[in-house]
Amino acid sequence: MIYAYLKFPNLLLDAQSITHQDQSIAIHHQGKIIQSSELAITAGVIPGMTINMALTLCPNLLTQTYQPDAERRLLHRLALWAYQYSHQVAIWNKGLCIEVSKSKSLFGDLQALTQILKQTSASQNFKIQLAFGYTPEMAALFVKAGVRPKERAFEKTLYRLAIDAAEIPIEYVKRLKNMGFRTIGDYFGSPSRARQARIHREIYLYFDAIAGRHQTPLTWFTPPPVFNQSIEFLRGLESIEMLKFPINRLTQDASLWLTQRVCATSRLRWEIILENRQEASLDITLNNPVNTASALADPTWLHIEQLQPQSPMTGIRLIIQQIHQTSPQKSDLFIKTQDTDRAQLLDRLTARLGSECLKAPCRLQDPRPEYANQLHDERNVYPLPNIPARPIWLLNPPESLGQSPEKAGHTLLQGPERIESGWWDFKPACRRYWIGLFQKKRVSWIYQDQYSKNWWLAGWFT
Amino acid sequence: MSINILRPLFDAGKLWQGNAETTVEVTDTGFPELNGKLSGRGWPAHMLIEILTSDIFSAPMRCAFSTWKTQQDARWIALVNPPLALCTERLMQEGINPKQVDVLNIPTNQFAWSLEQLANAVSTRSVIAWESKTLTSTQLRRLQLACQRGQTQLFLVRNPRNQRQASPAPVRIAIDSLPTSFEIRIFKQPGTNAKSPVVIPLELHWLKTPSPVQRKTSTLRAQSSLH
Repeated sequence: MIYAYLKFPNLLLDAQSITHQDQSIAIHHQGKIIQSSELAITAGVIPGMTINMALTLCPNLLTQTYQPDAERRLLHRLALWAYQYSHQVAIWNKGLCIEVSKSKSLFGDLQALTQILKQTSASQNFKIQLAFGYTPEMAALFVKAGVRPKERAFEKTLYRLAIDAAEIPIEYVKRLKNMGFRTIGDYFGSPSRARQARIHREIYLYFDAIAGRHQTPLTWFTPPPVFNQSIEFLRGLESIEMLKFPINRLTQDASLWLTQRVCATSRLRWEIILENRQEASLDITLNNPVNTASALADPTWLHIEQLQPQSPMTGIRLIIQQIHQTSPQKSDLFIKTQDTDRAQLLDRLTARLGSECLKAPCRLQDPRPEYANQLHDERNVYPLPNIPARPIWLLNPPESLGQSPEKAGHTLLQGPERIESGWWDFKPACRRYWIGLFQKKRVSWIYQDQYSKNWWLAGWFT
Repeated sequence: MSINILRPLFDAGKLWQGNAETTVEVTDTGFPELNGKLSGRGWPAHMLIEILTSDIFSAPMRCAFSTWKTQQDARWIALVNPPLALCTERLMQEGINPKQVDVLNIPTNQFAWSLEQLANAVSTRSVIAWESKTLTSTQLRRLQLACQRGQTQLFLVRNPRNQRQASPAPVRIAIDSLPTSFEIRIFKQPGTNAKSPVVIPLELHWLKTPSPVQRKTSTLRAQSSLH
């Protein structure tokens, strides 16, 4: 077994969505600094220092309280990201532990896997440090020591490391040094029975673990059955435009989650948390199930653009509950991706204009023209029986022509076509349709209602 | 400047010489007389075509129906902001599959954006849209570019008063409705000069001799004025 240990040097800063690249900022817990930005480190603010000392060294230092929940959420998100490279991912020791012996074969070698992990994490704006080992403890030790040996050199590199590199309490380090152990190799060079007798059991097991002789049980991560992720903002956002980046990040994560499950979704629920403790929710229904980040983000953005929040926004959450199994996309060099293109077009149009804007012309099985020819959401087209010519345009409702079509300017040309129907729905129609000429210019479609004897204009041929 | 540098633009139909026939892809108009007047012998298949007419009901739809009938594929056609309700049965009688047709009613402020989306989509073959508010030159230019990107044909029905204003649309025609025909004047098209108007008779072949009518009307007189 080969494990990769991934450490995130800016985990706490990233977890609290702090822009730390260009400002001196530090996270503190119980009066002590536990993580600081690069600028703060340059000013001398290092973890373990008291806040007072840090502020003395760097008067313009911004400080934030440690939020364990935010850290946990981010680690889950990172575990979801790492899940695409191995099915065995564990959140361990404030980092991620990934079993990579099979991934190694898939990606070529450990070097190639390292490159992929570094590239993808950089694209998500996360800094990582990683190393490989036979056990998670060995890999974590290599990360701490800043070395990344090749597989065949694990043991040799380990034995060369100083005993101070071991992640054990400082008093045990001192005791081991007093015993004459300068390197980890010195430790394993002594008889096992003598070590066991002199060293605390936990420390003994730790050393066995870093040498790959003892396996620590890990709890493997499983992707959650429902996607529910949020991003909180330190300061309330007042403009909808500022949501673009958080939306992109959440849709990228959702896309990853869906891809890992070989699923797609057509329903998204967005919740925008406002400063006045209220929430604005937005349910989006897509025309087709999708799982790509852009297909999730585009309609979302078109919907959210129309929102007018009453107070600044402090967070945004994406929830996906309904998913559909999908088959992998078939790609063909010679076929245009028309289906995908159309689905995306419909999503964009309905997101911006609403579903009411788009209709399909239908032909239903009803002799009455106003019922037979309708615009619907669903496409229902029943075969056309042998009927006389129909006009291009229909007037719905029809326009009254009074008792005489001639007085209204219509000269009868051809007819009549008799339509008598609608006895079943209490809207009976008994009509005689004629083709007429309106003011010697346009060809009309008119009818006489046989009950009232009134004439009506039903449509236009030209 | 050497013409070879511009060759890709010529080949793509994005640039043409005033006296040369273009090689752009076209669709049959359905009217041989009109084909003869158009460079390429048909409506350009991936361009914005302006139809300037006060008869928004009849003439534009005749043009669209005729060309849609002649070239059908798996792609979709769309009617944007039609002036009245479209009769599906007539669509079927014309031989056009209603399952491949969308009808959109779009608010004025979203009209240009929606048309661009439709024109940009590879899945859209042809669009006919009735302009609700005069589009700006920039908007028309964007639509033309979207037509080229998405390989879409876009008929834009506009008010005839726009004829005097310059437009980036490569094809511009004016249609005047006459009692038994309509007259088409092509006043802008790629690769050729203005041509003499074409008169297309109304297709009323299905209008048979009137049956003995019970009512006393001036039917026969009206009929004779049509044929």
